[in-house]
Amino acid sequence: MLIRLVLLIVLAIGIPITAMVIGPSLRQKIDPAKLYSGGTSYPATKVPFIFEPTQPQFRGLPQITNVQVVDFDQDGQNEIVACDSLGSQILLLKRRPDESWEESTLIADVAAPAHATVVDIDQDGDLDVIVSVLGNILPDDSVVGRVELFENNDGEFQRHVILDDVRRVADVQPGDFDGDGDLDLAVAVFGYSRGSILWLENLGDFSFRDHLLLSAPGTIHVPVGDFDQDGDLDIAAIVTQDEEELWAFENLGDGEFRPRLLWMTYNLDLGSAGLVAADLDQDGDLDFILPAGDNLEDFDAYPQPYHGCYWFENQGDWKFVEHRISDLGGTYAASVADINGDNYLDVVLVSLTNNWLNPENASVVWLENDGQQNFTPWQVAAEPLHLVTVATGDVDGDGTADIVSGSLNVRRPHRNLGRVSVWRNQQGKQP
Amino acid sequence: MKYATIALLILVVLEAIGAGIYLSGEAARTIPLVPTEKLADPTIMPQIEALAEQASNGTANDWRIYGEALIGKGFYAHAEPAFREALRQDPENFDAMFGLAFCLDRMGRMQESSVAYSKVVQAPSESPEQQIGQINALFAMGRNAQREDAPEDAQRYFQQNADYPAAEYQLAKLAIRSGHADKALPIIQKNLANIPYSLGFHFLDQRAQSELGNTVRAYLAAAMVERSAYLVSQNFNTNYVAPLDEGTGLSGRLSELHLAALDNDTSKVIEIAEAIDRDAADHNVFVADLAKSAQLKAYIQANDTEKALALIDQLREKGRIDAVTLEAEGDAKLQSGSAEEAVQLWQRAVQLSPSEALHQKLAKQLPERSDYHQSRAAMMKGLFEFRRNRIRSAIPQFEKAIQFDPTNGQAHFYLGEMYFYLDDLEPAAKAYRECLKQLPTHGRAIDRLKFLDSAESKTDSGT
Repeated sequence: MLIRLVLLIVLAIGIPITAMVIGPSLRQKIDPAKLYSGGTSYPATKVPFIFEPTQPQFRGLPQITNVQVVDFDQDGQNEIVACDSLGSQILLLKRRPDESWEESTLIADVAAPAHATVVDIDQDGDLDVIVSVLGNILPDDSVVGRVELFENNDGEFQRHVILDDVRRVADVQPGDFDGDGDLDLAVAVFGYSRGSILWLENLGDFSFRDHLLLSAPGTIHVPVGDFDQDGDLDIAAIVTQDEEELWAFENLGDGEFRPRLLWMTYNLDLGSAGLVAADLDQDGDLDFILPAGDNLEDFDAYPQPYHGCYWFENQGDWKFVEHRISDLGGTYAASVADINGDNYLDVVLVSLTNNWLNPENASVVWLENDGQQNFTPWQVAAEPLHLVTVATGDVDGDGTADIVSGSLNVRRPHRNLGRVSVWRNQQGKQP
Repeated sequence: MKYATIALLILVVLEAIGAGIYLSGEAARTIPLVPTEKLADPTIMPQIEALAEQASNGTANDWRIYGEALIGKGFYAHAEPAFREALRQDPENFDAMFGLAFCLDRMGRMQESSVAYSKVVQAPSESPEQQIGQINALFAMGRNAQREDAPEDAQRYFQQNADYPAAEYQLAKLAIRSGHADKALPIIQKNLANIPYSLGFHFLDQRAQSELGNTVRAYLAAAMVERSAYLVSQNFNTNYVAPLDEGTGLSGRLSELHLAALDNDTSKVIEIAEAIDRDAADHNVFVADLAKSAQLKAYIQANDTEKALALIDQLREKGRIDAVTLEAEGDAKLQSGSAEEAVQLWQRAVQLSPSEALHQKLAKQLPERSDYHQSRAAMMKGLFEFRRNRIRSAIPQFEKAIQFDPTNGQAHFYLGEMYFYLDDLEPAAKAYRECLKQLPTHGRAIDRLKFLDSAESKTDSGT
């Protein structure tokens, strides 16, 4: 009886204690590996690259909006021209013989520059710079944009404001649209809720008359080319805000243009992020390459299943056929070059908002073209994060196409930061 | 002894039953998964961990709150199981239903997200906030259909959400894009009757009229786009996420700082900004950088030149040069008695980002350029009124701008614009012509005059 009583007492004390001790350990653990994980990574590039940040040490959160590879001083060696929104300046980066980079301010005091167009606008033999002034890097519908032309006078730049009183300007591209022998300009007024596409007629003496082509917010790029191969220059544009539309403005001569809606999608969340004109299939006409992955309207953008890159194949008579050639999450920019030296044009893409919680996800990829426009993705890098612009060109003088990119660090996470970064192409070199 | 044994036996049996219930409950519970990401804002993760701790022993609402905190920082994948646990514990938890749908939405899982949103739509709503949540959920289902390139499904969802301007906007847009601009017009007109200065509906009006070949009406609609400021919100994401973001880390402090700045409460701005600085320490916290402009202005207002200049140096080191820092540096230089340096800095600032305040400062310091700057200051004041659709208040400002500097072509143009909007076309044309005397290449003035001269505009000017 006593034993039974003792046993019951032990049980009476032991059961709740044991339950309290065991209970929490029975709770289900979530396996992190089973969490949904969007974003994309790819096999490592078979073309070797050497990563070379142009400024190994920096403080703060750089905001580079555009990079280009161009022989600015016309000495036969390419430089990098970069737009630094945080510093309100256009930078010139020259590679020194010791493989370090020398950075200088080409143009100061331009508010949130989105693009610097390097062109001999006055046709005097030197390169001038036309800056697309956003005025504010953040979403803003205010009239804060401008087009500022910097006339090169023996290395000194004289400012001419050639378009004022407009919303945020994202791109300017030159071309003689009216056939009078001088260079006119196509302008993407991105704005925010309101925007437009303009062309500026060059009237000489740094004076330009603005003509409206289309009222629509969110135009990022306005590539220029003879898209219908009729001998004059047309203008194309990607409209992205709310609408997702690819437009062309067919040059009819005498400064007249016919608007043509080449493509649109009902997917208002596609996030078109730019437009590149290039003859990707090398059939003699200009195609379009559209990077898509801009969801900056979200506090924390996430890769979407429709992000990536689209190739619009020019089939003549203003017919363009859409092909999806990449699914890179958060794709923000594209550049076209022959990366592996096989004489076919490849595509380099960078990501602004891949799923950075996965450290394997790609920030730079190149798409190998097999000559039949079948593209194989190769991952070049998983960092730096937040890449918003990319250019290709030979920056080290070895004859191969290198990759240059810039970081816009305005979204979490603020680690693995970059500013202007270079990946030097080592194709064909001994390891 | 016998009774004691029986009592103990009953107790043990009850305890065993209780322990069984407790253990099965524990076995059904989930341990919150905390992200391992190290965010730059050092104050976020401790708060997230505390919410996880609270959820691990708490109710469905604690899990929901944890899930929302994760959404606020973009941890959508981690938020998903948090909301699922909240719904396991309380299947009717409205906010958890919405949170789950939203996570799936933002991770690009549109079909799963639409199923989850449909549960929100079907749930009983107990408050006006929940009714708004249901409207948003139905709208998100339409958006998801658009994201899947399924316009017919999208149209169906938007039709079910009739009277919600954002849904009607999308309906009208779908109609225009599918070649039925005529069907879009009644929707547009109904909404413009309710929201006369809706930018989006005027924009759609312009597109619809253009599609229908009504050039004059399209032209006038385009003019209304320029004049309108009301935005029909097309995306509730920001409104939903902003308070969740502010719930943890320094984002909430930033909102407090902006409110204090709006109230012109200099000492409070400084207090909050310096607290943000302390918390951010040496980390690269984007939110902390966003506080710097207000902090700088507050130092200038408080005549704390030393701190202002120190902050400017700190920002320069981090690569920031802009109109705000240049203007503040100019102000600091003036406070320390160096007017010449101040003017140089303000001139750079005004070139970067012209403002009425900068032009006023320059007018005061540069008597020889006073008329020029006073003219630009008045014009900016006029533009401020115009952008708020206060046309009659804008006119005297543009007139003042012209008085100070008759060569100010832009002021002539905007004076013309004001008369154009008031349908007072004769003075409008006169002002455009004056503009062209100063700025012969002003495309918009040329276009306006062309429009006013056209016979069509004289016969058909109504919208």
